[in-house]
Amino acid sequence: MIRTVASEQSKKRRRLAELYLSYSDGAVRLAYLMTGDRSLAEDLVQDAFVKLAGRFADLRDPGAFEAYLRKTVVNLARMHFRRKRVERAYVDREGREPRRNAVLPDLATHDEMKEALLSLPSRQRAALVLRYYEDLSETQIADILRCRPGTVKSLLSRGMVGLRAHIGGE
Amino acid sequence: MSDDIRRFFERMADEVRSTPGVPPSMLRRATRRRVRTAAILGLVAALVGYGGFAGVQALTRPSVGVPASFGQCSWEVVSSPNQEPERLDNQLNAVAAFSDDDVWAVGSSYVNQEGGENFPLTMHWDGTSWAVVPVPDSYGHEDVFAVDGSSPQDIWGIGLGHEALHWDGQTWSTVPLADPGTTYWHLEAVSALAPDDVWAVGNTATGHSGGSLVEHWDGSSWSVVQAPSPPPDTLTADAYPSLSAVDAVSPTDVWATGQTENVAPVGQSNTVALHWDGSSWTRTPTPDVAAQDGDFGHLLGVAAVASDDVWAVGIAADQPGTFGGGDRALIEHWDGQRWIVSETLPADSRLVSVVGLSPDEAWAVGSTGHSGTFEPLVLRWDGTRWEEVPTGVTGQASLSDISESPSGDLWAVGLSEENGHGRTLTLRCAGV
Repeated sequence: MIRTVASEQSKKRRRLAELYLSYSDGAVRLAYLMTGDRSLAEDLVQDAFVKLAGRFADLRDPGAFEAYLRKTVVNLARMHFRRKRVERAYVDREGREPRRNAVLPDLATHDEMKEALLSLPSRQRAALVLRYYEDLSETQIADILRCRPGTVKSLLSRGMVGLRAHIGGE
Repeated sequence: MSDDIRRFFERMADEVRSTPGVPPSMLRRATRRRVRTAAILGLVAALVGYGGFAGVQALTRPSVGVPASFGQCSWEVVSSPNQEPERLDNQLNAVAAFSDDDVWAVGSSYVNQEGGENFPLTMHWDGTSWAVVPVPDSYGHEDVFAVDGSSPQDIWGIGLGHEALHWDGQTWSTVPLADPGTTYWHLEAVSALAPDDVWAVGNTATGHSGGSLVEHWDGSSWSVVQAPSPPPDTLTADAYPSLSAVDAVSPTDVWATGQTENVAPVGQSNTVALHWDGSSWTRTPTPDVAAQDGDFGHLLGVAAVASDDVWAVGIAADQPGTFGGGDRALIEHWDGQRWIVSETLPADSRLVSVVGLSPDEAWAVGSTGHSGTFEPLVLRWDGTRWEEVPTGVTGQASLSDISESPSGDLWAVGLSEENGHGRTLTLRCAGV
């Protein structure tokens, strides 16, 4: 008898697991672009799922979940930077580590790009990642960053200028 | 340039490997949080759909009746404040009563929406009213899960953050907890015996598995103390033990309870009880109701009355959902030799905290119902049996902790729903 009682809660939990299996890879990639740190990216994505679990585990529309997840990951990453000042720590750490791939010019460029990206203010970085990796519209980005669409344009152009300055006019 | 940056992003994103499964730690943390969110979503749903009273019906069985009177005290709701009620939902997670005019309750205030922020909440009862007491910014934006003190001038608050709160009689300050060095770690419960003898328990996780976490305060710093991390009886995935409660009879007789589980892909959990004898923590076997009636057991609360009188409460269920449908409140007792099941209640009930006053009096609190029908649950042990006691709460609510003051007053705290928002709930059972 008890076994026939549908457990709404366990359904939610399974649904959360399904959502995680479906969306965590993409979310971790997004978080990695925002942070440049794999384990931090995984942590942020898990934090995002925990935050969203009770609220959207039973959501029927996967597109809506993905959008909420993306928004949460970006905001958690930005909160993280505000709190921990990881940008500076990342640059310091990268500066100390030997560049194993430095002999390969294209990989060295990739590393330089990465360093340049991670040196940008987090709002500019978020705008670039959401525009050129997630292929979101400026309106969508404005919604995520909680700013006016005009501000997104300015963040994107300042971000581009920042990248060019770092990678020496490539 | 935009094509270059697209290619660069693709390549950088490819540096991330796929995650192989669902981390149990994440599901575990998500479940904890759902204690609140499920309650609130359920309460909102109940308002809209006018839910029934399944919880009360579920408890009508011979051994757990509702007595006409229960002698020593009667429960009443005491008005309690909420932080920024227009913007934030509020809830209380724990309570510690030191005297009739000195009671602490802790919890959180939070934006109940996607990505919404948390703020710690602590409040103090001065004998007349509750007042919110601010917490230093260094505590961060975290809930406070537990509170206990060795005296009114030495109180500890524990939460998801990596700093503990300490009250010296005048103000809260933060004290760093010991970092066990794992990716995730947090403490859920605290028991203070003396200014230099405080225990806190929780769990750690790295990757897809975890362990028990026990920390001790020696008067000057917190340190990690070795404790068993037993795997589930049938290991179907990585083990994930976690401790949810701690209470002490004496410095050489301390109990911690919780569960050990496999979460992914589908697993089970066993109840866990650990004992400190003054020199080491060891596991003491606990019966798993799960073996008969389901697969999931968790001891969420413990009350150590004497070396041969310890209560542990929690849930047994045939589904992994905590605080959802199908949970059955579980009460176990330690008689000095072994743990035995004292009581299990019908489905859709759960107990989360217990306090023991004497061999003839113990109280346990939690909730009945499920999404849409949460109601507070209070049970009293009279020396021979557990009986449900009415709370006087009308409307949707759940209880999360109970504490007794030396004068005999009991306090219980939790969450109630008002107009779709979570609100702090405090109940007092004053001696007659």
